[in-house]
Amino acid sequence: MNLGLEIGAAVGKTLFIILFALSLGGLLTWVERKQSALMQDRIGANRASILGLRVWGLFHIIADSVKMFMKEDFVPNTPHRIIHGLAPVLSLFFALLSFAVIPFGNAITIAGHRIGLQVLDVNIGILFVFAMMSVAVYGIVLAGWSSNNNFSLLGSIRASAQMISYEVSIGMTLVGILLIFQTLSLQEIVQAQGGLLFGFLPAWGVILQPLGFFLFLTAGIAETKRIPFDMPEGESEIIGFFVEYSSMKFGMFMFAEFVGQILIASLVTTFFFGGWQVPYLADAGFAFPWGGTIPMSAWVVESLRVISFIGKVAFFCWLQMLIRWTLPRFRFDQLMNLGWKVLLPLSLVNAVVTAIVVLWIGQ
Amino acid sequence: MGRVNVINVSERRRELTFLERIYVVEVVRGLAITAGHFFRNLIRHTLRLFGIKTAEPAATFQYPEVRRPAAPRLRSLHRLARHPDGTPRCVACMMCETVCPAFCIFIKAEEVDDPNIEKRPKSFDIDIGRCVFCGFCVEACPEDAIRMDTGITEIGSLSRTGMVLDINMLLSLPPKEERGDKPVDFLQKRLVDYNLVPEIQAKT
Amino acid sequence: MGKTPTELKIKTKADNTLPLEGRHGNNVIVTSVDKVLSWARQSSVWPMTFGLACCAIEMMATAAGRFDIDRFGAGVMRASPRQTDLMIVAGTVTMKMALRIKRLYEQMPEPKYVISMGSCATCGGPYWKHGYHVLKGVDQIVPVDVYVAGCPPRPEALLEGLMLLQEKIKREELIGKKLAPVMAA
Repeated sequence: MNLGLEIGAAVGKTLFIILFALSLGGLLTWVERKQSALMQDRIGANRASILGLRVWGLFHIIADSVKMFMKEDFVPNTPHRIIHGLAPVLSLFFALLSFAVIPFGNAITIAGHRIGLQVLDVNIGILFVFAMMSVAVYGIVLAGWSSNNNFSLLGSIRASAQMISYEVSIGMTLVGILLIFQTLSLQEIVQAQGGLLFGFLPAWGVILQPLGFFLFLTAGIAETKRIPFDMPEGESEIIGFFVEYSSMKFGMFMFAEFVGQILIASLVTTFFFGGWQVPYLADAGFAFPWGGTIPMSAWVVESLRVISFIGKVAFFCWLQMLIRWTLPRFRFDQLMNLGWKVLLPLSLVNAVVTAIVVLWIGQ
Repeated sequence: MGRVNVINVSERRRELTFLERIYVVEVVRGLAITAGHFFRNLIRHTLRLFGIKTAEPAATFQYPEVRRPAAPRLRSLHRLARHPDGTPRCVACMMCETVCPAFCIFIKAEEVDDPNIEKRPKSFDIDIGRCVFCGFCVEACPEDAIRMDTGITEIGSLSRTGMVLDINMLLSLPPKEERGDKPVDFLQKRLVDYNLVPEIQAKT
Repeated sequence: MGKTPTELKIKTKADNTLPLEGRHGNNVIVTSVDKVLSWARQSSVWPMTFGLACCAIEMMATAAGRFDIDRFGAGVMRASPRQTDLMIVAGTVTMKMALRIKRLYEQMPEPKYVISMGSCATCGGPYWKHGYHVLKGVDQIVPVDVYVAGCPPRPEALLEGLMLLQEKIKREELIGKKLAPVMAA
């Protein structure tokens, strides 16, 4: 019984987080068109209709996927056919695997057993996320190299240079978070953001580390190679690393990019915006600082928390889309300049100042 | 005398202030503009969904349901005009064929019994694929026979030979005022040429 | 939708005769899969914009806010030919560019379509008589599906051409679709 419950819980949590990532990724293709259309005073895709229903263009998601599956799959004249097919898989796999440590709720109790709402509750959560980010570079490098094309090789070299330089800034920013919360486990970091600062402010990471939030968001957008940092896949001005990919392999690269966007949004909410925490919501119900309480059952509390997690992730996906459709692209030297000469020193200063403040308050 | 606003051009390239150089402030200003557009259009679209009349949420002319109003002198598809009694005005004088810079008009003439009108066109072909819509033929015609006022600008075809308009087609096209906003069954004729529709359905 | 014809004759310069499978079109029951695939292909035509000359401005106007080509699902304009299925040849095709067009057309994966936009791409346009440097019509090197007339065609004309292409895709049969065409010598 215990084993059955454990296995069932594991499968359920995995399904939830995978379906969450995949469906939100599919929706993001529609959101991109519609959001860009709303921002540019036009109407996006809205003419794919099944049985006369147009549903604001949601059927375009299905049309795009079906069309991409049915395109001719092109493999260039290369001796590395297996690697050519493997590269998009690697890209998507590691992006999805990082979702295993993201907590989307506190814990629910089924039949007396406490099930934490996180697929992989390890006490080295941050290191796992770093590891996945570092290995994700492989997909890009193999893609450009196995295409047997000089320019896509150069594109993948650009991409890998960009990714590894912004990983350093992400790491140093997270050192600041580490110093404050003093744990590597993501679930504990989120739980520690449930307290109150000065009696009324929720103790979210953004209030404790505002510079860290900004640096993490910038470096995160650069990791996923979205505009304004998408010089590696520049596509209209310079050849990128997936020029030789067609049909669903290219679709997987596109999808991996959207999943990376959701991953960065989830990480930002987990570290800086309280993850699944709702302000003033404790395990037994609302507990406002001015004295009022609203008692709620455990299931309602957990559902509110999961909904708040999904809402925050959606907000940060929207914010990344907004940035993508507003800013022009950075040139590659400006990009590297920003990564090494601006973000890294700022994150180092952030870490040092955080250390001094933590020591000071600790006395 | 009015005052002239003199701009000192050498002042335009000024040094950027510190806030501008760190770029973040400008980014936030740009995001505010686009986010403003986003929310404004979202609210207008949502209100329109519930039936409340608002300002136009999108600047799009949703072709094919809505067409952009065109200028009255727009040079659109040609037509051959008729006299009030129904006879074609064209006397096959070959002026339009001579002046056309793209050499896209082909006229064959034939005799007419009436000595006041000596000729009329036996065949009058315009290759719309070659036409550059310059309007020289309209200016050259002494009989005001060929006109470019049908208002039809959407001309597509599945083949090059489908782009050649013959005299019956040209005589039958109505001017823009009579057509209203109904599209002529121009496209359907091309589709039926190639057995792609089993029957002609006039677009309403 | 109407009955699909048993033979599909398309009068273009490069004549495509049906492969053996297509002659028994009505004996093989693929129509419902056909419908889904045709619907998917026509609702999601991704153009590779080959803007060569003035027609490119009208194509940009079609993609902009006033006449939105994204409404038809064709708004994702990829720059790489491997990821697109429609090539809009917009502008004058010179002899130098013709080699590149041929190469890019061959790099596009099946099923692929070509819209010849404007007078120059259809037949050489105003350079038809005296242009020694102009290829008189892009259908001499690639098989064209839809011709759009105009100099340059208005955005409405390009949208009409796109809708005509969507109609053509809808009437395509899965097994009768054009394979890699054999160029007329």
